[in-house]
Amino acid sequence: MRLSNNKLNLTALLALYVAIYAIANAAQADDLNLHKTSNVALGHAIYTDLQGNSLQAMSMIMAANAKGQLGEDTFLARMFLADKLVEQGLPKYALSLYQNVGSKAKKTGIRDQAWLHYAQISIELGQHEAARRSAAKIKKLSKASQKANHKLIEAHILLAENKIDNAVATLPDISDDSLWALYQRYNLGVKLLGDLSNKHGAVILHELANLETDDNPEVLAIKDQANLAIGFSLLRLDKPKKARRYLEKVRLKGLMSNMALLGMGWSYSTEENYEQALVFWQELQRRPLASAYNYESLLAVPYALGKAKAYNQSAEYYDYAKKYFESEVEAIDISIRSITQGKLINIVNAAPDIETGWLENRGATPATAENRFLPLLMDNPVFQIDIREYRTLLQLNEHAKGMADEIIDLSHNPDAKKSMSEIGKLHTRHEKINKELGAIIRAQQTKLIDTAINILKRYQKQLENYALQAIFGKAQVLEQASLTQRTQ
Amino acid sequence: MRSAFNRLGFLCLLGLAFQPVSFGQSPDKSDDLAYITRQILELKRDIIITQNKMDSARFKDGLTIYFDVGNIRFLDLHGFSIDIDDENIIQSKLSAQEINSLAQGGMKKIYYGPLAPGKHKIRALFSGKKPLTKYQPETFNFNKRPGQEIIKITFTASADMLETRKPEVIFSRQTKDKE
Repeated sequence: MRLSNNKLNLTALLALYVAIYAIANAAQADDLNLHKTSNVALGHAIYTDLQGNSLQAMSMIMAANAKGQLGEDTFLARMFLADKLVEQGLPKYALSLYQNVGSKAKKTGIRDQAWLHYAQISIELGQHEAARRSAAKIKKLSKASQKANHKLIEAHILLAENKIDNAVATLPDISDDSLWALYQRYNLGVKLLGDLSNKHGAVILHELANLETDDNPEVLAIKDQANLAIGFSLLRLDKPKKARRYLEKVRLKGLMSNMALLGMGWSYSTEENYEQALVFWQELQRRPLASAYNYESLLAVPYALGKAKAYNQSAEYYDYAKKYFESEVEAIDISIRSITQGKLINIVNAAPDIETGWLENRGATPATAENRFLPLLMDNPVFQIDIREYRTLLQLNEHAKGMADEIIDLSHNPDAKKSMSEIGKLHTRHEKINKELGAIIRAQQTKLIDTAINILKRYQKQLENYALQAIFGKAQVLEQASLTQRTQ
Repeated sequence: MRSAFNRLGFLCLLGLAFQPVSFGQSPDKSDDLAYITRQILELKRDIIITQNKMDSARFKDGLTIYFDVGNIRFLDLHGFSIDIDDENIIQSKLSAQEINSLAQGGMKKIYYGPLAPGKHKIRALFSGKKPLTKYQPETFNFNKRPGQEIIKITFTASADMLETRKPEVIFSRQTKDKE
């Protein structure tokens, strides 16, 4: 039973991760008007990319560019390549291409787009001065979504200069926001509310929380995140009733629902309405374990029971929680041993040729020690980055294998004699890449294992601490029970 | 009064609630990964260049055919058949994913082979999934130049959508490669 629930949780978590990439592709393609190209080299690369082979598509553009086959669409193709480099996690390489298009393209429209993308990437990299310089070069943007992106960039620059009121005044109408702008608006709101404790942050997040949307999963996720951020902020300000208005809007089936349930419980607990708090915490309890929020709820439930004067139940629950935490500590030990033996790597190595969605599509896996805590690991942003880099390396390895065959095919070509020296050089380069790639993959495996073990050890310590707190909580409850008995 | 664990837990969760989010890109890759990605892309580029060079050398007079689509929202498209000088060179079905990729601006390379300079004709016949869908074959007569030539076949709907949703096949000769 727990296995299937855990898997569901994991699938849901990854669904968002994958969706971000899919929608980013569509948004960028639309932004660049790629469908208007008449150049076959670019058109073929676009087709190859849409068929799921981005690296091949990028190399095709590079080859066509080197041979001068892109004609009038040279700069459009360079923009396409730059966007692909960003998706591949190489934004610094992309920046030089955007700069090239921004300074050399003849058409103003594509130049402005290049500077806009340059500024967007600079904002993502936290390079506000570069973003400011790039944004200043934009002359005219035609689409409302591009204008919104531009304004969001300006707002981030102004905020970095501590001009908060100006930054907020610069924000575009939310209805013009592209997906990128919505994310940046959210980041701005969170920064204002979280880091600077500025009320404008709440207004921005409130607007996002009430955003009217269709079924776009990313927009729904941003709404959930905004509702959570503002809800928890209100809880911090001791305004539980207002907090609930936001927390209860978080979708019950969404990724953030566990956190929202915990927060809802907290809102009632703050009002000393422990019966109602229990409704939410027990709902959380019924959900699959092995998540930070479920662990929290294991202590929150007996806490609320104690406050509701159900002392015996509370004490029993604390006992249960303590035993559960201790068993989880042991399970993590077994899991760490299994991960050390390389079994986590076996799971991650599945389907190396799939560029996205590999975890969703990996099918049912047995509830083994190494994947028992995978949901906990996948909650961690450092692990997410490490695993993504490792998966990218696996795909590169698949491409490298494919290139070996292509080089062999070249040497079997009837006209290969004239190109033997060229083919020989390609072969030598391929061998060198293979060696270097092998070393990088091994290093990344070690890094992934170390990251996983460090995260699990931190959870282990936290669980040990929780077990102690359960002992302490039970003692408090029993003391409270005895005091109540005496006063009666 | 809240116990210490709850306050700690609460603060930890606040941190999670205030996490910034990133749009459509992976974080900047580690130097090693960025380096090796670049090496692979550049090697792949050079393999493609060598392949193209050898293909051009193999067929001194060659023809490449690409296929794309225009506005086909109201058209039933499932496959195509291409003849050169009355000889069938390709017959193919299109998957939904392929049609989607074409509709987003992609072009599929459907043929590359030798073709002597001089007069030739290409005949394209498109087919739909529904049994009642019948399209007329379209023929393109052209005088092939020496060397490499590229022809693009576009399947689209006629511009005046209000009158009829009439399918249209456009043959276009592309500028010769610089190669």
